[in-house]
Amino acid sequence: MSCLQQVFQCGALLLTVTLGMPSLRPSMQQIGLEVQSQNALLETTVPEFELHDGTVLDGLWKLARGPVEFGFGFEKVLKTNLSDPEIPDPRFNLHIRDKPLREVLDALCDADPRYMWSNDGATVNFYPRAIVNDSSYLLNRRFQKFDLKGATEVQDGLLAIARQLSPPTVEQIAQAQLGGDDPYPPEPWTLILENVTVRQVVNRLAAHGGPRGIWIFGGSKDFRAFGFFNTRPSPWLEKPKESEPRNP
Amino acid sequence: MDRYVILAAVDAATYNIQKATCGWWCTTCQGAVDSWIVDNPWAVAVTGTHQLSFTVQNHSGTQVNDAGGAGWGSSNTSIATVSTGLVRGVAAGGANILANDDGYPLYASECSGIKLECPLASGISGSAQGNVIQLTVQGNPYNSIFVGQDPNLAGANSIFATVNPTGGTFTESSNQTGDTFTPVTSGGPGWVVHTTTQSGNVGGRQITITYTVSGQGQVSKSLNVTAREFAYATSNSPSNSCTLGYGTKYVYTYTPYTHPDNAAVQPGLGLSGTAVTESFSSTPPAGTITGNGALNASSQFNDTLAYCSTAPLTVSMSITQYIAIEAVFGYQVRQNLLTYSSSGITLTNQGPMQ
Repeated sequence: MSCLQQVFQCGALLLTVTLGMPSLRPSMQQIGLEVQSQNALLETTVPEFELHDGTVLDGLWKLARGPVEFGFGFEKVLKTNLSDPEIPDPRFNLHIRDKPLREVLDALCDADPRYMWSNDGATVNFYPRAIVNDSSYLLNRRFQKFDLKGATEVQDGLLAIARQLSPPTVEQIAQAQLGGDDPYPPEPWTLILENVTVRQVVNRLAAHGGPRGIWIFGGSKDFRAFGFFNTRPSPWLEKPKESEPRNP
Repeated sequence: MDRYVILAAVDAATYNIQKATCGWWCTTCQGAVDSWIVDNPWAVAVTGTHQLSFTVQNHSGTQVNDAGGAGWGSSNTSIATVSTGLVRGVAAGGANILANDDGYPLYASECSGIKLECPLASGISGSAQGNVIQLTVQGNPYNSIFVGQDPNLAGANSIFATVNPTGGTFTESSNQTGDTFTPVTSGGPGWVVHTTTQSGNVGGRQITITYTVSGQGQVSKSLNVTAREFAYATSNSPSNSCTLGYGTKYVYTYTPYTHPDNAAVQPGLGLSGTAVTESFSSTPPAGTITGNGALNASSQFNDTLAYCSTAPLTVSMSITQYIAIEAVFGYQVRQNLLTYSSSGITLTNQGPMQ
């Protein structure tokens, strides 16, 4: 049985605007192109993928770096308490040749059957099977409307998630990160989404940091944290070369 | 008997004449009793020069250098030439250097019925076998070594030598205190240079390789090497900028080393394919920190250490970041391991969530 669960959020209204720019609402034609694009990504052949004694997250890191590059979100199996010992992750070997990305992702979560995957636009999401039907699980919670204004760093988005989730309790959300950078461009960013899950919002938050944005969610049920990374430089951090190289 | 002695001079131009009244004249002429070339064996590098001396041992006990008075010759001028004792290496190989001075008086003593005039004999010579050695010492294409704790020095801080003839031994030295050399076991003779030069203290140094062929002399070659800093943090000041309300966020800014040979570096400067590994020296809190970041940048880039939460959490911890920065220069992949300690981080309430 394939562990693929594709998520096509064609019905979701998605608005992304940069402050001072007119609002843009994607047409059905644009949405169709997006679906076509994400299908093309999943069907792209991975010439060779080899993982030696790695975890499913190790494999995703390696796979996302190319040659078929993509962004992903990874949700670790949460410990119960912060002080609990780490949950060991299975380590395995994989060697796959000339298979579409979809099948390589299948192979990864087959190797660690605690996980399943789906894609949301150009982002691949890995998450524990055990939480799929848990509506109280943070990443499964849903916004009727999510409104982010003037964000200049990813924590602005996380804070908006915590504040806009429905009561009764204020969700604890953390950014716990060592490595990577705060990938947001300096221009304030406004994002309005309707009928989306927290997972989808976080996908957008990561993607705003760069086209190959990566986020990892882990920790414990009483202290949950995100880390945000990129496999590529953020385009706005690139500086033009001052001189053209020549042969040595 | 009317015997008397005339002491006229000493050494090469000195004659001690004895007159015999019975019809014998005994004559003793001061002069050389031995001669030889110093150095024997000699060695010189291709295109290099080496000054030989031609030592004459006089009977009186004195020694003189007759290099200027002697004639010099080489057994193989395609290997080495010589003039006034100055040997010039032409090509790798062996040659015999000859020196002679036909006019240099020899020590002699003789009695005769007629009065003898000094010198009674003259002519000294010497020879020395030697080698013209091809010693080429080469660093990496830019004669650069890099400071810092580098886990991958072998590909970067390398110096190689080629020699002819082979079979000799090497010694290495640096004019910079703290530089050490580790032999390269393959592709050599070669060495990896380790330097204790600290970040921010870079500059030039001279590394000298000396090659000795047993019994045939030694030659040295020096290489001017620049110690360079690969990447460095331009800012690592912590800032408590947790938008989420509680915790600490550090932002480190790195500027990759700007290679002075940038015009020759392919495909361009800076960092590419960067992989960064960071880890806690203490127990990772909650296992929520992912050790594999992706600091990808072609110029300046930032690194984040963030532990920020919407809920208060009091944790005291000490963190050491081991940041392995990898860059692809045109000729080599370089890694630099930077270590920063962030101690005494206390994640406490720094203000209510906004």
